[in-house]
Amino acid sequence: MAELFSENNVKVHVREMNFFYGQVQALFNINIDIPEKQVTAFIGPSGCGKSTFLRTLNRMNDIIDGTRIEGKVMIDGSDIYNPMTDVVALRKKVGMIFQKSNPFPKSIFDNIAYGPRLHGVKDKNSLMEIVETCLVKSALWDEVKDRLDKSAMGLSGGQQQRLCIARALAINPDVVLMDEPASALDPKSTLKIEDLVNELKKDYTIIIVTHNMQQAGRVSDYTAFFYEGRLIEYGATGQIFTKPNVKQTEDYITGRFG
Amino acid sequence: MNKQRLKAKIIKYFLQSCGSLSIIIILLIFLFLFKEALPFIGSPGLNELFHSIWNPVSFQKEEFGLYPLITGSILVTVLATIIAIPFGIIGAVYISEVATPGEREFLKPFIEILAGIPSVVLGFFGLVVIAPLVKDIFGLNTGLTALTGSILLAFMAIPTIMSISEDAIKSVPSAYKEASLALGASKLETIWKVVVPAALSGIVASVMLGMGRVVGETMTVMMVTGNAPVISMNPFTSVRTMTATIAAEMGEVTFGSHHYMALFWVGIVLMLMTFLLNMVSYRVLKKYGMIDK
Amino acid sequence: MLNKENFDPSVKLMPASSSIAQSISQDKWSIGYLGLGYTKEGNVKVLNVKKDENTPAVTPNHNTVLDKTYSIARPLFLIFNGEPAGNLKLVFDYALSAEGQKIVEETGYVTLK
Repeated sequence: MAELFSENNVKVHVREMNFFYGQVQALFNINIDIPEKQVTAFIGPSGCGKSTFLRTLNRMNDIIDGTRIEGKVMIDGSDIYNPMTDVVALRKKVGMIFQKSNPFPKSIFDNIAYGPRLHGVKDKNSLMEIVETCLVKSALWDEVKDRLDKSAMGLSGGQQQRLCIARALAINPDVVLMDEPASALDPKSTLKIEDLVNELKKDYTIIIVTHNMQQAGRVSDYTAFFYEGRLIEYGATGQIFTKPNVKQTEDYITGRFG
Repeated sequence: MNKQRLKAKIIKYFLQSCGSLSIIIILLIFLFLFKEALPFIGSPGLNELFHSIWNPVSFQKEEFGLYPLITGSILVTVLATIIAIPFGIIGAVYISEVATPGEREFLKPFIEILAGIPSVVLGFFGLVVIAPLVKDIFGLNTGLTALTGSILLAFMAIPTIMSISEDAIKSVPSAYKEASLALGASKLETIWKVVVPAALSGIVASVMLGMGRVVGETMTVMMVTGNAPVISMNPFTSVRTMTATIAAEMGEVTFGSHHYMALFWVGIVLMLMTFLLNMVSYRVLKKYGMIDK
Repeated sequence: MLNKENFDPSVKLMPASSSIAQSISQDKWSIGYLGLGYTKEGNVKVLNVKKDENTPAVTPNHNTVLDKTYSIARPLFLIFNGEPAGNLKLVFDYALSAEGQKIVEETGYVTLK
């Protein structure tokens, strides 16, 4: 895959990775390099393992009992499954946005300040600064700046998802994982999220799982197609969508299945 | 067709009367309490209830001041709640968030058994085991104190607090937990900063229900608190609760005497207190959505 | 007793004689009164009582109770409305028989004779 981008730009490096839920193998021999400060999309039919793979990258699968992983997952050259790895530090570096927006039942301010507070920021002014920066980055500032102390549960679905993005940015991650971030939103909010993804890739490495092909085409630079737990094809988004090398990819993209 | 409809109607009325039975019983109890207590207003007068000496059998002057009994009940209830809260909530957190399924299967029946221990048995255990222990640990002359009663009542409140808090904690969406973990919080931080606050109203309601149980408990407190009708907020003194007073004196009182009526007033005050506690916890649960509106 | 004065409110009231015995045996400086039967176990100390200022203090036992030199004693009545007959009479007779009185003695109380 060296032809895709320079080796210096590799952020996430996965080799011969297998993943199991108990006895059931969910991912088979995954090999992939994901570039820094680009948007990489994972596509594939439901159950293909794309979300599972995404969640191995910040070890969110650890919280499910009975999961097991083999192989190598490196971020910035260090093995994140090394027993010495600090999971807290890893998750601070690899933020995550979930399919369904999940703000805490706290104020907008406290939602965003939650991460920084965990990691030791106590000073009110610094927190305010972080909250404002992140809300500006997630294009939510103008809508909520007058009601930061109000509950986040009062926001619309699209606003809540952008709040979750702001919350993830507040811990200053390198990588942002997005698990179908717009699948529960209306088209207008979806577009806003997509604009935001384009904006964010200046500063962050973004990996987005989606089953919306148009969305993958619109937002991503690289696309990986998963099917039945295997990485079938991976390449520049333009190439995957116009002239895929593998028949299964073509069938999926042209809508013949999935 | 007509027969069918009649049958349906009969069944409906039957169900309706079963449903309203508890309301009727409560109303009847209130009615009965007031009927027995009412003549007290004429003689010796309601203000006899509002002072600080309870001494209903005396060659000198009979005194029916409810204050020592009310403060006794409050002291014992508050202490028991304070003792029960940490155990109940931490236990609930442990069972719902930390314990392995095996531990959970093991622990839950024990909590239910604790809830089911007859209060006399608990009182006896308190008299023989806890009272001497309290006496020795705190260097007191007697183990029959408010604290002893509170410890035993805490045993009764803990299962209530634990099981309802556990439900509340379990119903916190796992999305909150995931979000917190994904932000680099440890499991413990997630529990205390996200899960417990999100379940707080349910936890508060569980505490209120636990208090409701404690306020009404009779046998245990009667056996271990010493039943001295003094006004005291010191946990190391003997106090007398409203329930113990009724239980101890109702058996020997002359029917229709002032003392008899005064005991009914004690009952009314007690019932109003539990009623209030239940109302508040019901409100909280409703707000939280644990009870259908 | 007490010249008809009130007890102090801090006096403890126990729901049963056995719990009085229990707390007297445990608590410092405690004093209480119970049936003679509860002193049989020997875990409480029995005090001598004067009838009035001029008589000597006496220990409660079979003799002092029967000759009334021990003053805080009372008979126990079996009360029935009317003349006992049938099974009821059997119970009354049994309680008064030598066999019944033997049980009274064994449980630490004072028999009629």
